[in-house]
Amino acid sequence: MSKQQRKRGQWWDVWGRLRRNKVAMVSIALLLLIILAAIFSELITPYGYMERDLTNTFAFPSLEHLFGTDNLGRDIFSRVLVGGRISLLVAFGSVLLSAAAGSLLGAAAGYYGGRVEFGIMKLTDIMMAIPAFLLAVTVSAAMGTGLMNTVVAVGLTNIPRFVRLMRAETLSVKGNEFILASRASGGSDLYIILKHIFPNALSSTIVNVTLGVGTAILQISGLSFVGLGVRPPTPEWGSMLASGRTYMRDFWPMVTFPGIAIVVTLMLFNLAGDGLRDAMDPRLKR
Amino acid sequence: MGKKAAVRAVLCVLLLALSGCTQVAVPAETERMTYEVGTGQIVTAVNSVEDGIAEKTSDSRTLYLGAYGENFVTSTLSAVGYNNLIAISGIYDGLFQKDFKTGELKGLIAESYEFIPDGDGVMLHITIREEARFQSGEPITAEDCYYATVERVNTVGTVRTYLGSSVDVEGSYYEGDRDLYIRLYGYDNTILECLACQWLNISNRSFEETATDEELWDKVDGSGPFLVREQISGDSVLLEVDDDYWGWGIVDQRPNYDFLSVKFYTEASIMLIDYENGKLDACIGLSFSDTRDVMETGRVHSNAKVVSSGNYTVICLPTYVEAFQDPRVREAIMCAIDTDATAIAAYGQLGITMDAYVSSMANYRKEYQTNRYDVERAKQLLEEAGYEEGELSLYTVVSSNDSCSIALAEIVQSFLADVGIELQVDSYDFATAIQMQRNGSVDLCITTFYTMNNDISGCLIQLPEGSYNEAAWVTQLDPALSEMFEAGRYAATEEEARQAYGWIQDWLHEQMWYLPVVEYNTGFICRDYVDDSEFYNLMHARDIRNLNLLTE
Amino acid sequence: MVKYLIKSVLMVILTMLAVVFIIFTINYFTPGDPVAIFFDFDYTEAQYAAKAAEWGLDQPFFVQFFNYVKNIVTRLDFGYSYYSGNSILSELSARFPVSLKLGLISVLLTVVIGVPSGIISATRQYSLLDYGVTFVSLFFAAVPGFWLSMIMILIFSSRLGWLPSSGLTDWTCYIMPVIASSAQYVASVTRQTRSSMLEVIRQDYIRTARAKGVSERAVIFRHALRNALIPVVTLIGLQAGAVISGSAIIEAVHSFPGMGSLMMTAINNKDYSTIQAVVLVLSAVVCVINLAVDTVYAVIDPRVEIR
Repeated sequence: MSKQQRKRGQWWDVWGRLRRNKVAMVSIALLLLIILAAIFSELITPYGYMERDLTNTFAFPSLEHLFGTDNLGRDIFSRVLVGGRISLLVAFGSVLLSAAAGSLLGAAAGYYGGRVEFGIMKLTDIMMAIPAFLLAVTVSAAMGTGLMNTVVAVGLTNIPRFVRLMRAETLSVKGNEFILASRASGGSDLYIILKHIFPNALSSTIVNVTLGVGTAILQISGLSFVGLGVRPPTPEWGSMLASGRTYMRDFWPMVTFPGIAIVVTLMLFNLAGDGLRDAMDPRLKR
Repeated sequence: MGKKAAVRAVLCVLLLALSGCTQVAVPAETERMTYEVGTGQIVTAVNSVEDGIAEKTSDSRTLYLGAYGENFVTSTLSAVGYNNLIAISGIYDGLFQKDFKTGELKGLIAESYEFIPDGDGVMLHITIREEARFQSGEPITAEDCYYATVERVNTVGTVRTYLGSSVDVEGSYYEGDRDLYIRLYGYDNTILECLACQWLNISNRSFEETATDEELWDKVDGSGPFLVREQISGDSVLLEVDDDYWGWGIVDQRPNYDFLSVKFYTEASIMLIDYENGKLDACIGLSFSDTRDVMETGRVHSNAKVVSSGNYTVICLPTYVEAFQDPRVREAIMCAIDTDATAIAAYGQLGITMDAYVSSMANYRKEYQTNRYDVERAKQLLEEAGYEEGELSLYTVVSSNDSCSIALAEIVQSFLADVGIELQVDSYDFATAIQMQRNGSVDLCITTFYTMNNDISGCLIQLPEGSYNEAAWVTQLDPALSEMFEAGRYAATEEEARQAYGWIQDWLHEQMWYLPVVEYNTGFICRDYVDDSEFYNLMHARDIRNLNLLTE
Repeated sequence: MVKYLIKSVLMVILTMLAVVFIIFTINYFTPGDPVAIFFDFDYTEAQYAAKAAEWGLDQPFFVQFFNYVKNIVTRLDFGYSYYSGNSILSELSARFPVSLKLGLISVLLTVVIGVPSGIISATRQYSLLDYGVTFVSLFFAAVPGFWLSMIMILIFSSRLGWLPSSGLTDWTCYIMPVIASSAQYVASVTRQTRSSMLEVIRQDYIRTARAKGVSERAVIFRHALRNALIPVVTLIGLQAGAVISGSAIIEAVHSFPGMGSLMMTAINNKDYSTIQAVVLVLSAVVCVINLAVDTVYAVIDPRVEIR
């Protein structure tokens, strides 16, 4: 069996296992729906997310405004959808950043060993000693607010988990014959890492990215809630909660719906991540 | 799968529980009351009129007060934050105090004063009361007063801003224990008002110079009627009425309680929850939606009202922005924003729409039609000025922990969007936002002006070139403007001052660099056993002393 | 064992030193002038120079860093708040015990509730109880703590009036902050315990034990638990940091006089020196908790010591 075929067969197995897991399938489907809705939010929302109506502020949910209107008379439903786009965008951005940086570092650590490994792993340990949220707070307090800065701040804090993952994966395949063969035939280090080591770690990286996006959404909403993170006029779930906080005692929709959006999305990410892990974990093959 | 159904069930239960939260104990008998606040604004509130007054459930010797904000130190030197002033104002006395009902300035530590001509300037001679004592029992001397007033012109930025050009520090001195001489470069008719404000509280010089941080925290030697008993960082401060205060029966009446507990809240809505649960007797600084709620529906055995704070928000168009050199563009911006609707939306019951360029408490105030809302005219003006839709893009920053100013910026943003002007709003922490606004990094400055007293020059203090807010500088546009500022402040007669300040306000209205948006009050609620009849003005934080408990 | 402990403690100290360096460097290069902020941007040259000298800000980077570390080590002195000008230590000393208590109770709760419910759930797989626990933990694992705080305040303080919404007067004030800061982590510990129990139960040696007629109780407690707990302990160690830093926002929501609300205030005032101190103290707490976890780990899993 050629390597190509073996690969295809492996992913086919994963798909087969995943398909049998109804909870995971439903969550992934719902998640895709949410992501699509968020991407096309401006096309499907009934009102513009900035469309104010100062004569109709603090309206409770009705058929006209599904989730009610906020302090400026803006439709909360539209803002939750558009806010979802921002939250997901920042979350995916930051996780991809940390996955890319973490994987490269982890692969280098595992592949080269010795001093490189020692340096990278010590740095990782130190970063893990600072609680992730506090590191994100420090970094974004230093860099300032905004979409890009939030991506970097949250991305930075999640690098260690990918370093550890990729290092372990690299160590497990380092001695394999196809790597030794590739090296013997003069493949460059980068080529070997990209061509042979990364694909092997792909499945566990996918699982970690899925679970990581959930964590990132939480961190981002936390940052925005304390006034760092995404700037208030931009709707983001955390910043919407922060602005709703003032009115929570007598107007619950502003603090409730963005919160429910976070909870539902996060639950789906967790379920999907679990499902993917079960499907991809070779230990369960038995 | 039963899971989805379960998700739905949980969400439904949650929603039901939450929707139940909108019901609160509303009094059975209410009365609609209309009254005038310190700013002259007429306010209507629903108050409960049950028979008799409620029984105070908490400790009857303590008045529990909630305040929105945070507590810090109790040194007069580092009076940071508005709520700190609430505690500070009880702990310290000033030389003078202002009675906002009559507008009269009364001596507090000062027994008497006189203005004596002194060369080309004026000497203010203040006599200190003989009986005035610090809390430690030491007499308050002229040296302490000199230290706490004249010397602060050099050391405290805020004081320098207000008094730097008036007080001749070199020429001022003290003589013996009771005579303080403050030399002024010219007669400044605001000097007594300034001496009545909290930044010039009198403190014990020898104590402040040697005290450690711990001592300044909860063992201060103040000059006022309240002793600091306990201070918990981020939580509360407990003040005790000082029975040995020299001023009882002389400048003040002893309240009917022994302790004043001030609890600080970082979230105003939580403060009202505590009030409803009976943990507080009175709250200062309700959020605007809570204020609306308590004033519209009332609370059992409670009186709700708004008290004036003297703060107002304006939009400054900085002169360094090229587009604003064209008066048509400035007028277009004035016409694009419905300031009356903005005021109500951002501040609700707390907001007062503005019809002037200074706070409603200021002397020599003139009224204008400041709201020029007219979208068609705005669009036409922009077209005439050569700006196509979307061509003009502006930038502003607001402080991210002030929900009202964020809302305000968002409203302004959407109003400007209506006429094709893009306003980018960023929010930063308070310090950075203020710095960016002041040092000229914004194209549109949404800023708050504070008034500490009836002094109109205090309202206009940011406008002269060189003041701390670069975005508001306008005096460089017209040399006459600087002259008028001087003429107003150092005027010998009321009439001269009125003319100068009238001229300035006319200029502001004509030139349109400056759009007043909203003046806002502070929301207040207290139980009916709290005597709040003398409490209607927070502009002067010392007014907190006017709260009392009713006696049986 | 003693050797292992000494080595671990040394590691913690080195790590903390590196953490101080990183946080200090980030804050050093952050734009914004603390002296100007302190004077509210209104100062004279002489005042500025005097304050900068008092805070040691006129020194070169490495001197500043060295002094900072020296003051912390010798006098536990974190310098002055850039906003109020107060000694940070005096602020911290009042607030640290409050936060520590909140953090430790929350971490303890993740163990005391999370582990047993995970075990029960796993041993009764596919029962109604298992479904219940699974669903509840799935739900709470997705709830941001600060949001839970707000919702609880709405229900239990505003609507029902059962619990105090803010402040710290008696033990009831701890209830909501503790629940809010631990719920998410209790849930994930439950999930982790359940799945690692299930994995262990499927292993051959458990089957063998069962086949040999060992009682179910003994199988679970003597054989399965010990092995299943290893990943759980790792998770708890990893989460201690998250619990403690998460409680920072929750403290602010509840106006709880701890270090978290101090930090939130500091963020709003751009008071870097205070932010820096809080981050360092919390990191140190997390390091110590991790040290404890590592020790527990060594006890549960004898292989560790050989490492």
